Amino acid sequence: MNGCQESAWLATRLPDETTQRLFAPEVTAGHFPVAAGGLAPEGEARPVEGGWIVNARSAWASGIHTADYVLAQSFLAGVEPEPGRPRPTVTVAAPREQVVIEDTWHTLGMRGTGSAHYRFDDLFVPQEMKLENLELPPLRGEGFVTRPNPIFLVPAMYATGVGIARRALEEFAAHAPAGYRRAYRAPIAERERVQHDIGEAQAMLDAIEGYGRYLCEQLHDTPIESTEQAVRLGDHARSAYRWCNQTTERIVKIVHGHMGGADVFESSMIQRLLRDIQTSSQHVMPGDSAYVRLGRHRLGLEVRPGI
Amino acid sequence: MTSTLADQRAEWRERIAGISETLRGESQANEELRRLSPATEAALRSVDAFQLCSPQELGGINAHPRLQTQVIADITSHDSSAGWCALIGAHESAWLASRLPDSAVERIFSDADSRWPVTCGSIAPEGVAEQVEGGWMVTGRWGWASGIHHSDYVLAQCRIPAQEPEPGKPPPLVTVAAPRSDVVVEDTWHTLGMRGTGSTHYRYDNVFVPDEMCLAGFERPPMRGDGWLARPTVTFLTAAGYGFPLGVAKRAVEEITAQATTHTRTGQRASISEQQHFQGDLGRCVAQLEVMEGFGHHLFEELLTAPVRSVEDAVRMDDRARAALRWAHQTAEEIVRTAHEHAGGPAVYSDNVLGRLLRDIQTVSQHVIQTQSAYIRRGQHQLGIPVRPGL
Repeated sequence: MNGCQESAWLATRLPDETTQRLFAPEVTAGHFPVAAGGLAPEGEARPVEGGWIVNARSAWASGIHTADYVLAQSFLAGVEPEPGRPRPTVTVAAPREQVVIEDTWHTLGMRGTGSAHYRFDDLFVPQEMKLENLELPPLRGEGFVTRPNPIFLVPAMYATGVGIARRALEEFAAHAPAGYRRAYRAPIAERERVQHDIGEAQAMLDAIEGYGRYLCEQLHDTPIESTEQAVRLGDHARSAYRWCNQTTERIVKIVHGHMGGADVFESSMIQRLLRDIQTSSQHVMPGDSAYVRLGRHRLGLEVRPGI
Repeated sequence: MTSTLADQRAEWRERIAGISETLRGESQANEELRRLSPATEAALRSVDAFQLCSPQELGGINAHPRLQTQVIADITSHDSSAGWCALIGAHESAWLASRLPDSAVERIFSDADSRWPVTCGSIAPEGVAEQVEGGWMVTGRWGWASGIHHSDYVLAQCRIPAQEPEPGKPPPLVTVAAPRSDVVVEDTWHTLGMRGTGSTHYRYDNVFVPDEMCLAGFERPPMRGDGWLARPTVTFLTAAGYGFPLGVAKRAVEEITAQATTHTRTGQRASISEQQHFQGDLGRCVAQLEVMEGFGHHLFEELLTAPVRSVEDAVRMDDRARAALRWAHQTAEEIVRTAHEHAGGPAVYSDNVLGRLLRDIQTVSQHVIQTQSAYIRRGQHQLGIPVRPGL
């Protein structure tokens, strides 16, 4: 998910000549350039002859160990923001081998993503590797890739919640008919309480899946003719993603609660899914500001672009 | 020219908006009367709400399931009792129209243009029926007859003590309809919520019901009508049924949004709407409401067209639809609770809309169609355990 989205930014926001070089068919046929990197503005980028010197330390670089390019968003050095405007930023990409990858990804869950910290240490980035600002439309592409952020990001992110919830129920259905808990004589699947809770979890999964289809059509088809409309639709999308993550967590907790002692061990799939959803819920996209902003829209209060 | 679903939805939205003032204005009267006021009943009849699910050849609408959801949600958002009575009346009139023999239908629906035969009553097998020359003698007492005071016919389901069940089969049942004037209406509807529905007990005291007033069994397809009306019985109930929690949730969000901008809670310096905690909770409610709407939209399109080739398919579809309905009720209750919690002191008074919505959604949650067994059965399917037809 992260790789597709960041590669799409690379493909749609670099200048033409760079894109032709990086995405030439003879290159992509053998190896599609995968991108990674955090997009929270950190550090500074200083303009120099032919490019930028970037000093920044960023986090959440999922997939950095297997990525070809690493993105970084930094504040423009020596430039004060215009009154009432955020501080200007620059987004650049560098080949992974030029970036220092730290070993910080020791986490509750999502352990396999390698979403470690990384640094651009006084790194020269040529002008041709500067991305078009993410608030502006992409330089190429059509269809969904032209939807503004965060709308563009939500469907694939939402799908991670769907996948986790599905797997939890699938694992439980395989385990429960022959699994026993110490306090009961019957297999787990035969207890009415379990059946009820799994029915509830399945109903929630139905809702996540069914609403997800409706949401994606809405995010794809709703006309956007102003910044306000983009902000409103973006907040709507983020709230849907937050709801999806919260519901997935409820589903996994229900399943985890009925698994029994075996589920506390790190080798347990359900326990891993629980750690994973609880970890991914800390990402800024499904953060609690999603609901606050949606509430403010409903109340007719001012909502600025951003997250 | 055939109108599209979008046209129909727009037309019905306007139709219900046209009676919204009456529905909202009569809410308190419905509560006090413990049944729908005459003005509420007239408003529902004026927009053909009770025709919503019936076959078109008899003057019904047999609406697309998404339209059913929308109409009931819109009515409910103005008044819960009116919404509930509209959905019960629409469903049970549809049963009358689609499951009585031709002779009875021709007689009963001959005058439907001037007065639609609204129907109510329970289909729990609480009574007994004895076969006699030309019909049945029926005795029994049933509850949950929403809308009985404005109904024209009252259904009742009975066991048949003289008939032995076939081995391995459930006991034989007969479902009958009688004019309301043949039925004794009791005064038992003193409740937590849904007070305006008049869902009181009623009795058949040794009432003769002619054969032509016996409905075809619910395990069989209807005798007339197609589309959503021909879907398995429980599934058929869920589209309009889903509109109820949706309407309650919509109204709760509307009310708390309005109250929050004008009300400041004791101990706070700014209005409720200025509190970030409230903004976040309201955002969650709005998101949940959007999910309810979007999921319903998707679900009923799918249930309308999914193939049903066997009893097992029908049971699975019914249980899936019921679980979705229970989920929608629980989600609506969560939304109403959140809105009620933030409303503060004014919400405790019995004429406060949020207080009423909380009582209403908690009362409706006791209805058999959305009780725990909906999830138990859904869970049994998921866990590969055999599930028999039924609730």
